[in-house]
Amino acid sequence: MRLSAKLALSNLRRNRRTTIPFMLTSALCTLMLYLVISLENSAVVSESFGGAQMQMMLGFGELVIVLFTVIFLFYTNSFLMKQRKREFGLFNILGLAKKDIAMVLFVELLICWGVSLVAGIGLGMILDKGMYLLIGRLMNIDLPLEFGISGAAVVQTVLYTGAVYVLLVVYGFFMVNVSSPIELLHAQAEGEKEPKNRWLLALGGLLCLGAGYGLALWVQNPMDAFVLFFLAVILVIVGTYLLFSAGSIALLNMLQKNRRFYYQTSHFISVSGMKYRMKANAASLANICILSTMVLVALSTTICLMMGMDQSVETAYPRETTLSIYSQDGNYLQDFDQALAQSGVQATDVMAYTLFDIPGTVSGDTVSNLGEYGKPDMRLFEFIPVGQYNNAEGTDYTLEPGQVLINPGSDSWGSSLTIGDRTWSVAGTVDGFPPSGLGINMMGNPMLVVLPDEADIAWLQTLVPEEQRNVTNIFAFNSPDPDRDAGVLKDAFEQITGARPFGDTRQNFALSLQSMYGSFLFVGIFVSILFVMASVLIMYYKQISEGFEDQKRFDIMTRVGLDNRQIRKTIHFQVLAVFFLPLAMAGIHVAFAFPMISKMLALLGMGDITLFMITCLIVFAIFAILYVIVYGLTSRTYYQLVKGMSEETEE
Amino acid sequence: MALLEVRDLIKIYSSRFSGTQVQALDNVNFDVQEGEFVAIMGESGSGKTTLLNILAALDRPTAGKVLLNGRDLAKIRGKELAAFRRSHLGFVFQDFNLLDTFTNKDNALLPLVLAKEKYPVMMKKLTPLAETLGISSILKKYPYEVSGGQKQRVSIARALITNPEILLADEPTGALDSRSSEDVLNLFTRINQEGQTILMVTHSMKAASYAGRVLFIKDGRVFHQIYKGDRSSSEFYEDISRTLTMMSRKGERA
Repeated sequence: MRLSAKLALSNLRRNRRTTIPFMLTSALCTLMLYLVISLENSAVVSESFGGAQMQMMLGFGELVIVLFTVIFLFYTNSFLMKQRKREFGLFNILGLAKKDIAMVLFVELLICWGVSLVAGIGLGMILDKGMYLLIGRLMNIDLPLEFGISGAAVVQTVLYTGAVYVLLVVYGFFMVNVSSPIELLHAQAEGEKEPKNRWLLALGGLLCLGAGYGLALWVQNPMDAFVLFFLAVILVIVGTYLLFSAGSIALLNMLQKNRRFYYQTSHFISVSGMKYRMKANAASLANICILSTMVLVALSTTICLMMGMDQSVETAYPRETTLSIYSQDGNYLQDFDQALAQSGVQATDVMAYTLFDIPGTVSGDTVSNLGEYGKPDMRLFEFIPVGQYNNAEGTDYTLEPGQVLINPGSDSWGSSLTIGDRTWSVAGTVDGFPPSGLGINMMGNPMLVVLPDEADIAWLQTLVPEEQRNVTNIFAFNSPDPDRDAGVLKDAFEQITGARPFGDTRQNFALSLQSMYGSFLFVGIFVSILFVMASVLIMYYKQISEGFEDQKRFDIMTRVGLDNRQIRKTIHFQVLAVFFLPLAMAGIHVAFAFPMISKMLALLGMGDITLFMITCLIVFAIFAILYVIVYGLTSRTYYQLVKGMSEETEE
Repeated sequence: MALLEVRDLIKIYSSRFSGTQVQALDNVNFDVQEGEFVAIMGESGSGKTTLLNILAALDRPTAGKVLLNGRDLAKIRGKELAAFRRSHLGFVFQDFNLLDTFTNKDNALLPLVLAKEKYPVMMKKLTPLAETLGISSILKKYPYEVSGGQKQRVSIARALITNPEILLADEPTGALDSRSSEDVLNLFTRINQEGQTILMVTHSMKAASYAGRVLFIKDGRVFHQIYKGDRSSSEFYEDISRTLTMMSRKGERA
């Protein structure tokens, strides 16, 4: 046991180029796991405003982190094991029984686990308070700062990471047991076969990607977007993997077949080198690409939601208080006036109007299927008589019978509008869009139709099923004390009519929105850190393994008559191409996902496409800079490897 | 004027850490005439590889000169060295040094591609050469798919494809079984008869016996040289063997 411990320690030290990143990964995963669990279990968070929502998002975050902890640790560990097969073979030949080697391995992993628990949980306890502050800020609430250690989080973290390490130990034992010393010794030197063309897979990848992109561009209705989005995501992920693995090799083989292109100094070495690089790295590169895309999407959407929140609030609540109530035929607006007079609320800037909102299906300039939900081309229509529109927006439009004004949202519309057997001519478009009083419009991209007469609304009501004939009466106003006044007015209204209006103040709405988006953003940032860490790791390990392999090629080419500068240039180009391919691809993915995501954002009340585009670009730029920095740092290790080894061979 | 002239060559290595100096070459002098097949023999550590590296311009001598066709290798600037090596020298190594990422054909064409030759010109050079070397049928395969002897022939093709003035071979049979070794040596004899100058470093008497002249190196000095003349390879082999025995006896006395 003492010998095993000694050996294990010296092994860890000797292989520090690979073990340190492993421990770092392990410690970081432990840290994130601890933080997420401790926040999830925190009474302070759960009792706060919007805390339940936050807890749900954190639960989701925990799941992602556990999943990725397993993947990361196995990935880094398998890299370690591959490098060390030789070492194990040597130990075996020198007379260490497999049992003893397994023991050494066990002790090594035990040490790694111990270190990552101490570092991860220790750092977690320190950072915990920072997380409370961050959550408080993002959700715009004051969380009381309590200093305490979450026992449940410690226990759960130990259990989760312990389970992962048990799996690693089992895997290690298996590796040591199945192989003979000779195999172990030669494991690293196995020759690489030429990557074969797999046209079918390459074609499949192209089709998947095309279908995914097509879907993302084609989807018009935001309601469908939610369902189809997942299909598109899966298609794009599959397409990315296939294209990186089969597609890249097919392309390179094609280039190789083109003799005039291939037999040129720079192409010759790059193309054949890339082929092997892509074969070895395709999966990792596809991983980096997908993780980068996820980071980009997660961050730009959550940040955009946060940034656009003020505007969403402004659109949904043009006044400080908005009350609304449905009515089938009667008009409640006078009752609001009466309630206002009775309650003595000092209301200013009053907007009072009724409107009729109902889903319908669009084909050309015709609207049909009024009142039917779940149709593929469904859109929400807001019908309002011109008088009510003028009341709401303070305008003085007039309309002849047979004429309408429209606000077609983000779409365009023709010169006429047909519903049932009636056709109106479109007299023009308006900018205003009186809110429907229901907070965020969850159906996205609504269309406003201003009709000439109240009778037109009555006629529309006859077209829809009985239970959907309600019109909404909206009464929005500013007053000195919105919170109190809203309640007072509701009470007064209920006394007069017997019905209680619903509705809220802008401030309450903003708070609930903030707590929702805040928890999105918090988990978005958390998951992004995890994904960035994964990308960094993959890059680091890839650079190391590339470094070992390139050294030999470097050497041979010098002897055959390629000068150092040229070699460095071609190798640099290859490494660069390989590592920036995923970033470029991630950028393209985000570009194609853009229309779909902006439609989904519209559902959440964020309709400002320009803002979203700017957010995307800024997030991408920051991510790219980060990527370059990480690339620079990891490639330093790479060049040290190549240079260090070439010095050795020269002596 | 000889094709290759080696004059007063000295190479001293100094260890990076202790500062102790090791003299690898101590005043080496010899000439190689055009069309000669010269073997350089010596034990491990005798300085053969150092000598070859200096001849190949991979390493620089501490003192002395190497002239190829009257041109001083030391005066070629770093930037031109690679191109010079490519067009004037051909290399054959013990462990082949073929790139696994290229087919045999591309391995053989590598120096021409680096020299920015046009593809039809390249093929015009490779086709007859591959025929001579008996590798036409394996050109499409990869190095890891063929035997050691075949690999060595591919690397010979790579060395000869630029029509180098001199072919430098470093233990070309070191990693081969006896039959493949014989094949490769017969090939050397044949291309030598066609006019190719060859300088081969080896410690195999068998390999050396195929050469027209053998230089013996010991402790960094040219110790002795013998010519084959009209003798058969087996007679020459006896002579080489006797010389080596004599050298080792002398070493014992000293």
